[in-house]
Amino acid sequence: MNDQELMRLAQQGDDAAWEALVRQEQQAVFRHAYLLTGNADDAQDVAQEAFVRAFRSIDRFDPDRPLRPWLLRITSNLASNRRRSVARFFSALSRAARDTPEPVLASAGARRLAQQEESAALWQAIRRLRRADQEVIYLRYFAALSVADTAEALGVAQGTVKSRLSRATDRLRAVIEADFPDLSERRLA
Amino acid sequence: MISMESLLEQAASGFPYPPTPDLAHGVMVQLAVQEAAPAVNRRRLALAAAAVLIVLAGLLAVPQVRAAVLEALRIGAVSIFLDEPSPEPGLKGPMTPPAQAGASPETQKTQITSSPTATPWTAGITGETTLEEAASQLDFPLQLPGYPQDVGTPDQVFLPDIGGQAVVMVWYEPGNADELRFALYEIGAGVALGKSAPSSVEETRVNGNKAIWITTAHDLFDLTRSGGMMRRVNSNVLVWEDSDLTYRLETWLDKEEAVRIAESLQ
Repeated sequence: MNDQELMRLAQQGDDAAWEALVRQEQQAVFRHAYLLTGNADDAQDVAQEAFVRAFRSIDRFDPDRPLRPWLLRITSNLASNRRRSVARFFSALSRAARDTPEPVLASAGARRLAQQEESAALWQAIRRLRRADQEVIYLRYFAALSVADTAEALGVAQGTVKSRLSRATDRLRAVIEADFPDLSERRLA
Repeated sequence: MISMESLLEQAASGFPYPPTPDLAHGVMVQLAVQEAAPAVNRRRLALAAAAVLIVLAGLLAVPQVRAAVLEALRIGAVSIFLDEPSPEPGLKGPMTPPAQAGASPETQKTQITSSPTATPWTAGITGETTLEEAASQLDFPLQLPGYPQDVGTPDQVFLPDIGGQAVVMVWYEPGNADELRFALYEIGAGVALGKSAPSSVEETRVNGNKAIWITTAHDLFDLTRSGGMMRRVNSNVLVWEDSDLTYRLETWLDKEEAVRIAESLQ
């Protein structure tokens, strides 16, 4: 059964169909939430709430449109709200000692570990960017959405996605050159 | 030397994400709880669910309890799940209210049947803050009781991490910061709390709105996620809803005093 069929069933009140879609999309949603929040617990909360909110709005969703951009859009909004929320404020205080999020580095071979460390360093650089820049990078590269789906997720035109990506990567380049010399050595100008 | 685009693609493919948790179960549980909301078109479902719980709790032989429970399944953000009554060591069933709000702490202390300080009652609540900070962070106007007359501002204020907008304000007995006078939860959007297995549930009214009065020990927990807040509540509890907000008063006072405090919010 494909996404459209599952979505139509879910819109008719079939809980099992929605559960199947949740299982199918939960990794993408959780990972996007993790990139935005920088914390696995927060990401789990945001991702779960995203699926709940999506289900509440399911009647307004066009099943012929791609599901993932819609879910990631909801996730982005919730992550932004959560960042501003009082609960996050106090959680952030309690976690002040680890202001910089620490990605999970798996035990792996030296080469893989090096790649993971480089990915984590790049993430730290991305997190220096403003929110809109982060989002377009996460959607296009980390969630691997097409330009069209990124546009869908952001609610903007495809041309806007391209221009935002261009500006975001320019700003990222500046951050890397200023504060991440190890990454800077590996990229072209 | 690689391009920025390639660098990003490589970073994405090798990124050390934490393991993805199983979200489906939590999502479906949360949706099921919300299904039981007292919206008009959910009424039949809520009553059916309540009836099942009552059968399991063995309460069918008590019609007045059954009627109360059918009405009490959910008040705003608080869902009440019944279970078979099982008295616990040290808990003496419905708790005798210690005294009127105006009574001296000494008088109240002699009448309390279960110590309010047996377990630090704030255990499990995080996010202590100030009244001013809480007021500035909440999306809804914070309300304070005008009764008892000497109530003043709360001694402690928390913005707990329970998935949405909520504040917990605590008043202690004057001159004794170890004895709870009452604690008031004001709960807005995004919060879903559960209460498990209170064996004494009674319907009452606050400003004409339906309210629930619970006088037996029970667990209070965050329904929005696993591993969230979980507290054992030994005191009496009044829960009511007003203008899209849910209120929850924990106290050793009796029902009449609790309702009076509730109706004094301003």
